[in-house]
Amino acid sequence: MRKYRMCVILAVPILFASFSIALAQMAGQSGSTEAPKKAPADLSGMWLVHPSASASAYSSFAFAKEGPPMTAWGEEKYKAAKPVFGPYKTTPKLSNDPVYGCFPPGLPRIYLHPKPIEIVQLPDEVIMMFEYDRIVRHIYIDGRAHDEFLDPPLWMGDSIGKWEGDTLVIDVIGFNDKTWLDRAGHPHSEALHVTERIRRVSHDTLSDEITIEDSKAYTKPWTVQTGFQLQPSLALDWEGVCEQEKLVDRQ
Amino acid sequence: MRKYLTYSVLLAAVLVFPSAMFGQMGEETKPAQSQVAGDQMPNPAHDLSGTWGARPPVGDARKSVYGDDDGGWWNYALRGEDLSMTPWAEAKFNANKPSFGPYRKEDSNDLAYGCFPPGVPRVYAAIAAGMQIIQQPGRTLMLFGQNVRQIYTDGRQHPKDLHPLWMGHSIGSWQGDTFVVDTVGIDDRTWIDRMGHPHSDALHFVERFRRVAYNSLELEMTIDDPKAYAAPWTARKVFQLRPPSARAGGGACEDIFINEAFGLKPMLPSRE
Repeated sequence: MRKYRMCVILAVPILFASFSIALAQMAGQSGSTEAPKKAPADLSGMWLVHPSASASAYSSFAFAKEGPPMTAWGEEKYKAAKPVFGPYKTTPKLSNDPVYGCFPPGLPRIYLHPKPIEIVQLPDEVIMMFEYDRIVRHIYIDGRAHDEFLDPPLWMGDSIGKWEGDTLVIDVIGFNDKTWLDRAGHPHSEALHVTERIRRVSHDTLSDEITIEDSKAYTKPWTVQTGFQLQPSLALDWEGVCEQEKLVDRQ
Repeated sequence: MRKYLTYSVLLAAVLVFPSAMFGQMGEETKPAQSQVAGDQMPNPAHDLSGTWGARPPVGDARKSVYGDDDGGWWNYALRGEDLSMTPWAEAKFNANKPSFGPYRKEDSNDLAYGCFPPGVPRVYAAIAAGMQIIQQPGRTLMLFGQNVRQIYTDGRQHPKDLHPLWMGHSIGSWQGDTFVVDTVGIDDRTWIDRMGHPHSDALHFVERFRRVAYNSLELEMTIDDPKAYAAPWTARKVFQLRPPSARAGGGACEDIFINEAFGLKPMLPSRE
């Protein structure tokens, strides 16, 4: 009986250990030698944001006609913002829009800037290359968890994704609170949680349903919709440097 | 004796178990583990894909050739010896104010502090963000953080009327087991390295990448710029495969160099 117990005590960790080592080695090998699993959909290509025609009154600066219901904290931040667009717009000179300091636009705001986005889809990750501000966004789809120890938090957040049917569901946290949600100055806190559901609804069209949750800034989550249109004739232009444009502006 | 054996096996199991688990989670132990796995992996042909990190050289390269305490020439230069510059390049070199190397200055005019792209070959002087290589039909992408290089492998030539580009215009092809990248049209406002060696618009930069083992990539570079250097010269770098679980950084250059009051330094010189 005692011998049996000893065997169990020994066998469990050894089995577990060999299993973990095997797993770790498999993880180390993935990438080039294994045949990649076929993804449920192919999002790759050159895309341009294409909101619906019914949104044309506001789609250059906001995701929705009505602003989301804010908390007192959110209201205060919104009042301090001096955007160039929206109901409280001011002039570029008086604006405190972070992008005028060449800071990254954040998410989902980057989708309001009508510059090409190239999506490169790999077995382990989906990469979005935004010509606007030359942002490279890595969305890991290899099953990893969020990086819980982000210090400092990130301008574009920490993105992990998974396929639900043919929809890529992206979960983003780990944002700093220096960006705006849109070009109209809607704020967010570091508690921002963005969920995107991207689906290739036709060969030439992607839809993106974006849910924004931030209990510090808004009283309830809200969901907005945007979309992208395939632009195969466009080439990625990686030459524009924000600082260069600013300096030219000032001269 | 048997009891001793039992304890040894138990101890071994206890030691192996957490290290295997941490191998998947902790940053510190990952590279070593990948290296062990990588050494046993077959070296794939014509495949450079993955994320690579620089491997600091050993021995003399760690010492500065200029006798200062700057952490070794590999930290700021591509080669550990004086480069034979033309008078044109000497003048430019003297006007450049780097923040690295033996001639570093307090009031640096390094464009890196204006968040401009580093250009090639300078991008290899410090690749903290890693170098991700993605091979696609007709194109190989190289991502260095937010600096993207597109290397055309579809057989095209360099355009005749080439406007200068921050990272140049690159075409690539396989010669045996070596991926050869030919780059021209590199903006002459970028430097060759972090210590301020200049280049002209005539710079012709050739890279020869060879994956010598599953987890090891060698790069031999040739810098051919008759306007700036008396003769073409070469430099070498070795890269090590990062585990797939490593993350690309998400920091912005502006975090470090541009203040919140939007104080942009007017440092961009006009192109020659």
